[in-house]
Amino acid sequence: MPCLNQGLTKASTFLCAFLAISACHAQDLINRENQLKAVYLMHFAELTRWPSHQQSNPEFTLCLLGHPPVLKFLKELSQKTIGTRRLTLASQQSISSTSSCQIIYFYNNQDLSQKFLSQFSETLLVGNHQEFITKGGHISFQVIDNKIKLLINLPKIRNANMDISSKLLRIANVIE
Amino acid sequence: MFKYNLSIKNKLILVFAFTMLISLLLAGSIFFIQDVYSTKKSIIERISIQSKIISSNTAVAVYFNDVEALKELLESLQADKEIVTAEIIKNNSIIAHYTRPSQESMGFKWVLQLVMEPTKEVFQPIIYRGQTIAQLKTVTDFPTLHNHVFNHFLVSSIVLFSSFLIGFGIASSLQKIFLNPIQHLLKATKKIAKDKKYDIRVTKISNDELGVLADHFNLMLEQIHKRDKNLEAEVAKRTEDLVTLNNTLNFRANHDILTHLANRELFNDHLNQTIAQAERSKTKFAVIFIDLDQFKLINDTMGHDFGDRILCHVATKLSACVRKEDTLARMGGDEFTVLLPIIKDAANATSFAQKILESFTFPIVEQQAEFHIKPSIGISLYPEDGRQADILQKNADTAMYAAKTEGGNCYRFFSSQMSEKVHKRLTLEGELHNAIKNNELLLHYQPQLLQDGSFAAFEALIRWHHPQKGMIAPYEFIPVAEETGQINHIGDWVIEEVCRQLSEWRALGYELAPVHINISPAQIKPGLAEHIHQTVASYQLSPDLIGCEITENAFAKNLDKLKSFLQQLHTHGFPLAVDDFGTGYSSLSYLKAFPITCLKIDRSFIMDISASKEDASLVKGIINLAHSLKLSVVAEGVESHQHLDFLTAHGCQMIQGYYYSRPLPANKACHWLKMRQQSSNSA
Repeated sequence: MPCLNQGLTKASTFLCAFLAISACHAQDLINRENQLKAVYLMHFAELTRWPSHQQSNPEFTLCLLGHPPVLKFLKELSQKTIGTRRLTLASQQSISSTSSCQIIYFYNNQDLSQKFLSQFSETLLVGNHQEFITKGGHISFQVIDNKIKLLINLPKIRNANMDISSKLLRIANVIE
Repeated sequence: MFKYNLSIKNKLILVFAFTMLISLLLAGSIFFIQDVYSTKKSIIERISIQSKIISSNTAVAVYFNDVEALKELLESLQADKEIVTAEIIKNNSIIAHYTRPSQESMGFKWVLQLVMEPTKEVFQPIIYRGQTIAQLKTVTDFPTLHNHVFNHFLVSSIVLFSSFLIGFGIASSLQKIFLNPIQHLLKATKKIAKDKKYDIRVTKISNDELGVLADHFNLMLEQIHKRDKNLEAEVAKRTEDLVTLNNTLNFRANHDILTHLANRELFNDHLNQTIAQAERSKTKFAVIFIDLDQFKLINDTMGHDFGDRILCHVATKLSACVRKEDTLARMGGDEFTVLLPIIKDAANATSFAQKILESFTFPIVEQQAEFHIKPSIGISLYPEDGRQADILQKNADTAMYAAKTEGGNCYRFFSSQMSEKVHKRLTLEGELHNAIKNNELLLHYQPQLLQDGSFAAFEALIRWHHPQKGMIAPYEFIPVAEETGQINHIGDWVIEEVCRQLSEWRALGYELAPVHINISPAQIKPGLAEHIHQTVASYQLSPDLIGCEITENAFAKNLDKLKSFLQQLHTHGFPLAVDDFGTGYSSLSYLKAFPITCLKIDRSFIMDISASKEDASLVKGIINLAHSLKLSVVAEGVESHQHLDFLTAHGCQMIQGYYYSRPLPANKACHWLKMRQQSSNSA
């Protein structure tokens, strides 16, 4: 029994070690994904042509709905400017408080009601699933084969008086 | 003109440098054009690649009409200065456009425009998802090429100029290889031309064609040198010959060729110098004129060559008599002059004349025969007889004539009276010349009769009817005619006139009788006998009608010539008589040797025949001699009956003289003859 226990101990130790290593690897992948998403979000701000009236606003506000993991990386990038505009990160708990945002990142695939869409008609809506596009979102991150792909709903964006730079469109799947 | 004035050195340098320059220019131009086209091609290729990249990069932006992105992409072309404009044309509309900011061109556009189009458009399709959705048009104006060309031109110019300088330097150095031998040749040629020395030789520097040229040049110099030396020798020889010839000519100009004595010119020169000297020093001098007596006779009888040899002997004799300071000259013929430049008085001249006369006492021997040549000497003194050269000579000549007229072989000093006599003689000489031309001569005919008083012949006697002086006797002018040679003309005239007269008498119907003519020894020369014969024949007269009388003196000299002449006359049938027999030559052998038919006793014997027994004996002897030789005899100068009786008594066949008739003019002779014929017919 003691041998069994020893064996079990060794096994449990190896398992614990294996689980610990696997857990560490999974965490790295998640961090990498969020890091990339953070960079994309910053580039969305740069590669989107915003309605002209927004150009006079000295601040560019990127809103994060909830507390998404990208926040940590976005904070690292918060010192950047979008053109001449200063980047401001806003982590909001509810949609109602995102009225001044230029980009809203929906981390948890919140529903996009018609009311919301009409309220934020000139705001770039970014989500994490393909359904987000079908629900009226503008850009969605998709993880395919451990690679982040973009799905862009270009008509919706253009309907919202915005446009996406072809630099971004080149690497994205575009819904025309 | 430029190319002719340049030296070979500069020509070589220029040829070398310009050849290199042209080669470099040609090569540079080819490289330049090739470089321009290759650069242009690479620019176009680069633009094409860039257009492809741009078109690829802009495909999405075009598709999504991302004009901003397009502009941004096109703006990236600023990095490429070749592209002046870029346009994206979609559905025939330009949706994006780029224009390069203006930039300074190097100003070589116009050069390039000569060889290529100024701009180039490149079209590149923009393809998205397999479909051409637009066109990218890029235009280039090749600014880099302009700069490239400019730089190329700059570098080429520097290289070209440097190469030209290097080539010039190399050519300057290399030309020495070619020119050094030529310079040597040139230097040698200049030295030869300057110094005229053909013994200089050119140093052979190389073994090429110039070396061969130097060898041939040296060979040519050698030949010229030899020829020059030969020429110099020839010139020296000719110069020597010319000097000799000049000396000879000078000698001949101043000396007599025959005797080598001074001639008239040199004598006159010395005489003038002596006159000048005498005028200054108030001294005397004498001019002596020497003429040889009867020398003409030697010339006429012995021939001129012989006479010349005698003259040489005479010159030798005279040379022996003169002093060093005296001038002895031959003036021509047998005339000599002597200038005695320093005398105290006439006695010095007398001594000299006597010395000459003494030297001539010895005969001259020529061809083993002795000749007694005698001189007649005339002397004129300065200043008494003249102060001028011609007067002194004339007066010496006059004095010489005086000596000669007084018998010769003597000397006479000039006196003013002599001058008058000589003048007369010279006048006579001139008038005689005119007399022949003016027909002033005429013939008188004196009959010769036989012992019985019958007419036998006429002797034609010449007379000169002078228009002013009246009748002049032959003894006055015949000697002058003989001395001057006019006797030949007179002799010819006489035979012609006698023939003409006989012909006339024959025409008048008279019975012709022989006419005797006198022939002077001075006339006798080859051809005279033939001339007489032809003249007689031309009048169709018989030769026996013309009797030829030769004076006895003629037999004293040149007997061969006389014999030949008489023989010819005899052959033709002319009767021959010896005139003045007894007065001349003493030898009687010629009477046998010559074809003589008659002797004429000189009047000098007949005149005193009554008073002088010697003359009577002589005449008798002559008659007897003629008889013994079977010759007829004619007595001249019969003027009285006593003369006639004596001659008749001693057998003289023919009588001639005033007793019967004086010499008659032709018409009177004709009349006389007519009367004689009539009287004989009546008797």
